Amino acid sequence: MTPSLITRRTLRLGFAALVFATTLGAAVAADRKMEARLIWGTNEDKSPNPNHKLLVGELAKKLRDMPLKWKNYFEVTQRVFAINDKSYTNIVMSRKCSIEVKDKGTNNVTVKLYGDGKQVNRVDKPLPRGEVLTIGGDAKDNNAWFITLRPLNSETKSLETKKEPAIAKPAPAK
Amino acid sequence: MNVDDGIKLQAYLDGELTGREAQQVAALIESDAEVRALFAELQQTQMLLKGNEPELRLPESREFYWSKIEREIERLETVPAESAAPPWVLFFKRHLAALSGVTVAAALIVFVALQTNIVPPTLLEEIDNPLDDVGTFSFRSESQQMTLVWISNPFADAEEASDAAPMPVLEEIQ
Repeated sequence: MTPSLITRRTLRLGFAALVFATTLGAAVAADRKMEARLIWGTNEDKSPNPNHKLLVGELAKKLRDMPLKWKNYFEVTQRVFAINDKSYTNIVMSRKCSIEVKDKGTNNVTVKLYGDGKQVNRVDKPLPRGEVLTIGGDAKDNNAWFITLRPLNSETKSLETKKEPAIAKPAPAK
Repeated sequence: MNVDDGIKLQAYLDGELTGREAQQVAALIESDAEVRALFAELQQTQMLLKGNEPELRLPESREFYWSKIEREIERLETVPAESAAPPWVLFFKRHLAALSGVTVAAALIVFVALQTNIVPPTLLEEIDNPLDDVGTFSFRSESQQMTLVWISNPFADAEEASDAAPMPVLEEIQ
């Protein structure tokens, strides 16, 4: 086989591999569904707002296994949304807190955190399936807030939360 | 008979003499026996050459044959110009097949590594904190597959906490 023939065949193989990789990448990056939650961390047994659900399931276990000092985590809001690589998707987590998320390709995301309209933080990182990005901070009275972000399967409509017994509400005063 | 006479005799035989010169040579052949013998020998030699001289025929036309020679000369003239190219160009040309093969393999490895999360997520992580009053640090738990970005706020318990880090506050959560 002559060197020019080898070169031609290698270039042809390279081109085919490039087209394959690009197609695969595009297919992988086509649908990025994410889930964001605003979580309140506290050592109290009850949330300040009785409407908040006690966080249970896989995410709660992950948070409890992290070196954090809070015993209980309450879910304030949960949002499921899609992101793309063209523009930031804005997600309002609470009256004062929102995030903007953008797909940066090959499982990378950029997350901008806003508080009261001001940008507080920006995180660029790979966030493949199975990974959770948690942004948190101190709150009053030794409490903490957390925003968790994780990718979902494209067919997932909402997040699992294992059913647990409802939190016992205090009996109304007679 | 001198040398000139011999040359004239050959010219006469070849039909190159005209007019008076031809008549003189013809008369000389008639009158001189030595000249006649030489003329006869020359005639015999000419007949032998004509009858036995091998005829070489070119396989292609005359124009095509010369154009081939011309092209070959041009090709040889361009060879020194090629060898005058920088050594790295020659190296690149010589190893083009190997280089393209290695490049394709490297691109595929990087692509697969990114898709299958072989590359540690922290390697490509970037955190930006635009606020002066608050600090940020990140922690990653491999076992929980969770990255925590902590925005520390020393004024969390103060009244102006929401100004330093405008994030969810207890009042908002309630």
